[in-house]
Amino acid sequence: MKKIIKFVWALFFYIFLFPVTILVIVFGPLMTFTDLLDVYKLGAPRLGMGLGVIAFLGFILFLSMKYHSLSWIYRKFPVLLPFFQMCFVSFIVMDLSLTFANLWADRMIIGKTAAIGLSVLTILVGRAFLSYWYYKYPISYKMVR
Amino acid sequence: MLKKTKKDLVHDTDNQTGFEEEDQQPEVIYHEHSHRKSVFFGTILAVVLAIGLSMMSGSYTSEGSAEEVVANRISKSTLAGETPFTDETNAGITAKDFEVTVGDSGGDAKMLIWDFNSEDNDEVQILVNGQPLKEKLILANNPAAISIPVPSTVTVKGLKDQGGGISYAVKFPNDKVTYYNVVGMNAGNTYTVRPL
Amino acid sequence: MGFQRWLRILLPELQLVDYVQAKGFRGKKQRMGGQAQAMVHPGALRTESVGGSPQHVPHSAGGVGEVVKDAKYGMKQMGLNRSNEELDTIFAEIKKDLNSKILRQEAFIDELLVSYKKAFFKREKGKVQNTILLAGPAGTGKYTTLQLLVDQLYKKKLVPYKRVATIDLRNYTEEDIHSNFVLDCSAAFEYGIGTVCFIGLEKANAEVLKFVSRLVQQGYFRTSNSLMVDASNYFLVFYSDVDLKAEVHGQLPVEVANKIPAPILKGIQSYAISAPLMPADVEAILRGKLQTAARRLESQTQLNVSFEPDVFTGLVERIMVTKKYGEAIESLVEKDFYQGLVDLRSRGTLLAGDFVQIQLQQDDLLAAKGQQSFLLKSIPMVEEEKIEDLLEELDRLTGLHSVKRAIHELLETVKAEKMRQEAGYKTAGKMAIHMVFTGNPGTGKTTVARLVSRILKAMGLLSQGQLVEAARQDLVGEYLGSTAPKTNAAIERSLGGVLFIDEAYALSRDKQDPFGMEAIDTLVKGMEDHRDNLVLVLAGYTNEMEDFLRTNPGLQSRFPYIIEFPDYTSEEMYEILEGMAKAKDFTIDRGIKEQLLELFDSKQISGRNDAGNGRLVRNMLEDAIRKQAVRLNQETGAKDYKLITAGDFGIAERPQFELEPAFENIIGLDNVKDFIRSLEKQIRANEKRKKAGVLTEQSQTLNIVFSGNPGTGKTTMARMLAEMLKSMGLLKRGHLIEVDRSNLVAEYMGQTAVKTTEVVQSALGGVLFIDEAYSLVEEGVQGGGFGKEAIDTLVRLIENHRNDLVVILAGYTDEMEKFLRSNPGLGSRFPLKIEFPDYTAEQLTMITVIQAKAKGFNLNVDVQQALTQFYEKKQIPGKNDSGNGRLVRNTLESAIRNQAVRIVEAENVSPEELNLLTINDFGLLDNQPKVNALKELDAIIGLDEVKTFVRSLSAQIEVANKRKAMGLPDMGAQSLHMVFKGNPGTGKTTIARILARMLKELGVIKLDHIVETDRSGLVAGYVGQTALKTREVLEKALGGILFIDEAYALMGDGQDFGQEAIDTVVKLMDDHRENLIVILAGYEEDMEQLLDSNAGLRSRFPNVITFPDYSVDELVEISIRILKPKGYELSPDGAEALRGICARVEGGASSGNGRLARNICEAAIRQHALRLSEIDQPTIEDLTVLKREDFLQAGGVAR
Repeated sequence: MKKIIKFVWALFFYIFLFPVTILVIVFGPLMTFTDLLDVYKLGAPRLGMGLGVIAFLGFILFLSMKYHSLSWIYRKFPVLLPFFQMCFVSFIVMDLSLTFANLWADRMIIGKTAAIGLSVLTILVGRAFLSYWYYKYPISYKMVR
Repeated sequence: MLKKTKKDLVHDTDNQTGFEEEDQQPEVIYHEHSHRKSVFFGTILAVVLAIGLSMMSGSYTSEGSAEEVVANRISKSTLAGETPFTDETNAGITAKDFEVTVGDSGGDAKMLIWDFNSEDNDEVQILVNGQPLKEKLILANNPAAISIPVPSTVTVKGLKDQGGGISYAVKFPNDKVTYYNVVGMNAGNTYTVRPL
Repeated sequence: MGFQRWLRILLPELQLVDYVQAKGFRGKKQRMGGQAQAMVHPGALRTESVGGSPQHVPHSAGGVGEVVKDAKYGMKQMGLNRSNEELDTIFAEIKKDLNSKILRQEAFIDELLVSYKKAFFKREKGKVQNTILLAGPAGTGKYTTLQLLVDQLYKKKLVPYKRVATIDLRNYTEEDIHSNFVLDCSAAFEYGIGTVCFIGLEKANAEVLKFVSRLVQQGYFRTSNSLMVDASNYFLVFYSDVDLKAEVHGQLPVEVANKIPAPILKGIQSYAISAPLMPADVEAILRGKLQTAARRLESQTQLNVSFEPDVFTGLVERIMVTKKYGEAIESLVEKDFYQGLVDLRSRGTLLAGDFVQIQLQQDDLLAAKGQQSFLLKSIPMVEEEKIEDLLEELDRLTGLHSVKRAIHELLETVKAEKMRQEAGYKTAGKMAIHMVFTGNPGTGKTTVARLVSRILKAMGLLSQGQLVEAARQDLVGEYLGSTAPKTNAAIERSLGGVLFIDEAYALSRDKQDPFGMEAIDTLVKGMEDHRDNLVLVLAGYTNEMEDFLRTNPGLQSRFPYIIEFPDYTSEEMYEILEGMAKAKDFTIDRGIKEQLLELFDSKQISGRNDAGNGRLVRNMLEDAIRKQAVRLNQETGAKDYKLITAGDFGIAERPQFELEPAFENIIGLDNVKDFIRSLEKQIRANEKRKKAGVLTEQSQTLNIVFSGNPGTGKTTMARMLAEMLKSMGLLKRGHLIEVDRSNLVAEYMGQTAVKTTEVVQSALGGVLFIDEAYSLVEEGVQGGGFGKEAIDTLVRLIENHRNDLVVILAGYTDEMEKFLRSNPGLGSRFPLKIEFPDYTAEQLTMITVIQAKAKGFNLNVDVQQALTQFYEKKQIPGKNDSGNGRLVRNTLESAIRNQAVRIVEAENVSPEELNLLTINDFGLLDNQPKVNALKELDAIIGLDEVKTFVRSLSAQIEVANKRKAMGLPDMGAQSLHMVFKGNPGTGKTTIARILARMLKELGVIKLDHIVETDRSGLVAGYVGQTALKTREVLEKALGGILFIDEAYALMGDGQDFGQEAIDTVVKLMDDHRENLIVILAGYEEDMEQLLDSNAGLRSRFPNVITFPDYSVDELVEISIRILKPKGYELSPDGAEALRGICARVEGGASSGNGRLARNICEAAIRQHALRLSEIDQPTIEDLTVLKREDFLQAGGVAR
C-alpha cells in the first residue's frame, strides 16, 4: 500500500510539479539575464520571477533529489543533478541581480552605477560560489588532484 | 587530504543513514548528497532574500487586490511592469490628467510606461511640452523608460488601440508613484511634472 | 594544476560535459566494459566504487592514464574466448615451430607451452595468468625460446602485444628502489596484458624481492607513496642460470631451489628446466650457427667459407669448459667468426670469391687462404688451475713444513666442506680463513701468501683469488680521518682475493699512533663484513706480531691460522740456493757444499733476525754470478758459464788462525797468552771429539774481565781474542764492538735499556768490549742511576745470547772488583778474570822498538838504554794513568816528529839517517841537570841545617845506587817525610821546591812537581767529603812532594774535619810510601802540638828541620839578592837605611823574614819610580840606584 501511494505521488510529481520547475529553473537564469541587460540598456525595470517563487522551486528540486522514489530521473541521467543545481543557483543570483537593477530602474533607491555594481557583484558571487563548489566536489575526472 | 577523507567518511555515514531512509540506493552521482544539500541551502537563501527585499521595497499588501489598486489610479507600491490584470480589463478607469511632483531629479526625470493588463500592442505617442518625444511607443508589459525634463508637461496620446482601450500605467521612479490611466484613440492624458 | 583544471574550476559546466563524456549521457556506458568499471575510478574522484565490484580496489594516482588505457584496453582482450580445440591446434603448431628453432630442448619447450596453455584454459581475468620459472644452464636458449613463444602467440592472436618486458633485478640499489624499480615495473605492466620476465633474482636487493614476492602472491603491490603496480592478466616469468649436471624431470632440482628466494619459490606455479647441452648438442648447434653465418658471409661478401672437420670438436671442447653453451656459441660465431672475416674482407686481405678454410691449430682459430692464414681468435685451453699442481708447487718450496701442514689441513677441511655440500647437507657456512704469518724476513712469507691466494681460488673459496699487497703507507692516510677510506679502498681492491699486509706490526708500532689504530679498526670491521669473500694475511716478525695482535682485542680471535715461519737451516738454504741456481741455469761446484753450509751457518745468527734467509741466499747467488762474470771476462780459453766456484761465493781459504805468530808481536801479558792457549787447546779437543763422533756441547760462557791500567793492551788483546774465537768457530762473525759508558747509558729514563739492547744486538755473533766498565756504577747517585739500568739490561742480554756473544769488561783492577760486586749476577756471569800488569820499562822499550820497526823507523843503539830509564821514571806504580802502551806510542810519535824537524833543518843527511831515531829525538837528554839543583841549594843564604840534611840525603842515595849497581841488595827506600818548623818567610816553600827538584834528580821520586796545599785544600764542607778531597789532592801529588803549609791548622779541636784529613793523609802516606813525600810546615810550637795530637804522626815524620829567623845582615843579603836580578843597585846610604829598618823589625814574631825583605825592596822600587817621574831626563845611574829616601818611605810601608 505504501508503495502504491509512493508510486502515485511520484507520478503526480513528475507530471505536474517537476517539469515546470525544471523548465523555469533551466531557462530562468537566461531570461533573467536578458531582462537585466534590457533594464540597463533601456533603463526600464523588468519584473523578475521573485525570490519567493524561486525558493518554492528550490524546495521542489530538493524534494526530487532527496527522496529515492523521486530521484528516479537522476538515476537515469545522473548528470542532471549537478546541472539542475547549477541552474538553480544561477537563477537565484540572476533574479537577485535583477532585483537590484529594478531598485534602480523602478524605485530609484540606488543610483545607476551602484545598481550595476551590485548586479555584477551578485553575479560574480554566484559564479564564485559555483566554481568553489565544483572545486570542492568536482564531478569531472579531469579534476584529478 | 586527511581532512577530506574524514569528511568523505562523514559522507559515507550520512549516505548510510540516508540509505536507511531510502532503500539502500547508493549515490546516483558523486557528491550527490552534497549537491542536494546545496540546493536546500539555496532555497533557504532565496526565501531569506525575498523577505529582506520585500521589507526594503515597502509593503505589498496594504493596497489590496488588483482591482482596488487600479481603481485607486495612484499607487505607491506597484513595481513598474506589474500587470494586475491578465486580461484586457482596466477596472473601469477613465482617462485622467495628473499632477506629478518629482523630487530632486536635477532637471529631468524618468518616466516608466507599460501596459498593465494583457499586452495588446496598443500604441501611444509621447509629447513633451507639445513636442513629440516618442512618435510611436508600443505598450508592452515590460515598462519603457523615457526621460523627461522637469518641469514639463507630458502628454500621452493614444495612436492605435488593438481593442479594449489603451490602458497603461505610468510610474515616476523619482517619487515612486504609479498612475494607472486609460487613453482613447487620438486623445491624450497630460501629466504636468513639477519639481518638489 | 594545469589549464584544464583551471578551466573546470572557472566553468563548472565543463565538468558536466566531462562527466557526460566519461560516463556517457545516460550513465550507462561503463556497464559495457565489465570489470573495467572496477578499475576506472580515477583516484581523484575519491568515491569508493561505482558499479558491481564490491571490494574496494585502491585507486593509484595513475587514474588518468588508466582510464584512457581502459578505453583502449576494452577493445583488446585476451583471446580467452577461443574454444579448447582451437587452443590445442595453435599450441601444437607453436611447439613444432619452437622445436625447429631451438634444438635439443624438447622437454623444456613442452613444459613452457604447458604453463601457457594452462592459463588459457583457465580463462581467468583480473588475476595473474601464470608464474613460470625458467631455470637451467646458461646459454641453453631459455630466453630465446620464451621470446619465440610470445611471438607465436601474438601471431596466433592469443595475446594482444608482442613485447616481452624484462626487468633485471640486480641493478636496483637501496636508494632507487622507490623511483626506478617502480617506474620500470609500471612501464612493464602498462599494457595490461603480456609477459614480464624477471632476471637476476639471486643478487636482487632484499627490498626488491619483497615487492616481487608480493606481486607473485597478491597480483599487485603498492609502494609507500601509494604507487600501485597491478600484474593482473600477466605472465610472470622468473629466469635464472643454474649450472645443472644432468637432465632433471618432474621435481625441481635442489640447486635451483637454493638459488630462488623462498617467498617467490612458493608463488611459482609452474617451472621449465632446460637440460644441459651435451657436447653433441653443442656441436650440432655450433655447426648450424656457423653454417648460417657462413651462408650470410657468402651472400654479403662473396666469400665461400669451408670448415675443417676437427674445428667443431675443438671449439666444442673449449665452449664446454666455459659452461656457457649458447652464449659462448653466440659470441664465438658472431663476434669472432663473422666479424673477423668481415674485417679481413673489408681490409682487402680477402677478396671477393676467395676460398677460405677455417682451421683450428692448437689454440688459434685461423682463416687460411691458400698459404696465408689469419688469426681470428686464440682460445687458450686455460684450465682452471688445478689444486693438485698448486699444491705440488707448494711442496717444491724448501722447508716450511709447518706452513705446508697448515695449508694441507685447510685443503682437507675445504674438500670435506665441498663433499658435504654435494651430499646436500646444510653447508657449515664460510669459515674465516684469515692468516697471520710470523717469521723473520726472507722466510718466504710473500711467496707463500701469493701461492695461498691461488690455492684458495682453485679451491673455489675465493672468486678472483688476486693477491693485493698493502703496506702501512697504503692503509694510513696523511691526516686524521683519511685513513678509513684509504683502508677501505684497499679492502675493496682485494675483495674476492687475498689482502696481504707485510710488516703489519708497523701499524701499531707506537701506542699513540691514531692513524695506525684507525687502520686496524677499519681492517677488523672490513674482515667481519666481507668474511666469506676476503682473506686477510698479515706478516711480520714473531714477537712484534704478538704485541700487534694484542693492540685490538678483536684481532686475536679473528685469525684462526697463525703460522710460524722458522728460519731456514743451512741445509735448507743450500737447497734453495741450488734451486735458484738451477732456475737461472747455473750449476754450483759440488766441492764447496761444506764451505757454503758453514757460510750459511755464520750468517744465521739466532738472536739477530736481519740475516735475510731466503733473500740472503738470493743476494749471495746474485753476487756470485756477478763475480763469476768478472772472473770469466778475465779468464781466457774455455769459459764454463754454468759453473760457480767457491771464489765466486767469496769463501777464500781463510788462513787457519795461528796463535803463535799472533802472539809474537805482543810483548808480555804472558798470563793472558797462557789463558788463550788453554782455551785453544780446549777447542781443539772438542773438534777431535766431534770428529770421533762424540758429540759434546762445547759452548761455554767466555765472558772475561780485563782489569789493568789503560794502555796495557786490553783492546788489542780483545780484538785478537775475537779473531781467534771466530776462526775456531765459536763466534760466527767475530767482529769487535768497542763501547764505553756513553754508548750504553742514555739521558732519559727508560732509554738506557733500549740503547743497551741495540748495542748488544749489533755485537751479536762477535765480541762486545766495554772499556772503563766500572764507570757504569755511580756510587754518588742514589739507586745507581742509569748506569745501574744499563748493567741490569746487560746482565739479562748476556744470559739470553750466551752462545752467540762474548763480553769483555775492562777497567782498573780495584774499580772492577767494586763494579763486579755492584750486581750479584755480574760476578757469576764473568767467570774468567785476567789481570793486565803494567809493562816493565824493558817491555815498554821493546814495544817501542817493535812499533818503530812497524812504522819503518829503527832506533839508535844507545836510545834503547835511555828509553828504559825514561820509562822507568814514567812508570809510577800505583799511579795508573801513565798510559803504558799508549805512552810508548805517544813518545814514539813525538820522537818521529822531532826527527822530522831535525832532518829538515840539517842539510846533508845520509839516507839511512832518515829513518834513524836518536836520543835527542826522544828528548831524553834532559836528565843531566841533576848537578845544578845542589848549586842552587848552596846559593841560598843561611839555613845550614837544611843544607847539611839534604847533602846527607843525596850522598846516601848515591851510595845506594852504587850498591845496586854492584848487585848488593837494595836497602829499600827510607821514609823521607819531613816537618819544617819555622816562622813565616823563612824560606820553607822555596826550600821544599828545591828539595823536590833535588830528589827528582836523585831518582827518589819520579816527578819533580810539588803540590802546595793548606787546611782549606784538604778539608771539605760536608761529612765524608773531606776524605775524598784529601785523597784527590794526594793522588795529584803522587810521584812528587805534597807540601802542607800551616799544617797545625788541621789540628782543630777534634770534632771538625781537620782530624779526618790528617788520618786520610796518614793512611795514604803508608799506601804510597815510595813515591810520595809529605812535608808539613808551620810554627814551631804549633807543629809540636800537631805532632803530639796524633800518635802516628811523630813516628811518620822522622826528619824534623827547623828554620831559624834570618839575622839582619842575612836579610840585607837577601834583599840585595832580590834586587840584583831586577837591575837595581843599593847606594851605600840606601843599604844603611835598609839595615836600620831590618834591625828595627827583626826579632819580632811577625817579622816575616824573607818576605819582609822582599816587601821592603818592592816598596823601595815603587818610591824610586815615584821619585824618578819628577826628573824629566833621568840618567842610567838615577834609574838603577836606590837612594836612602826611597828606603825611608819604603820602611814606613813595610811596617
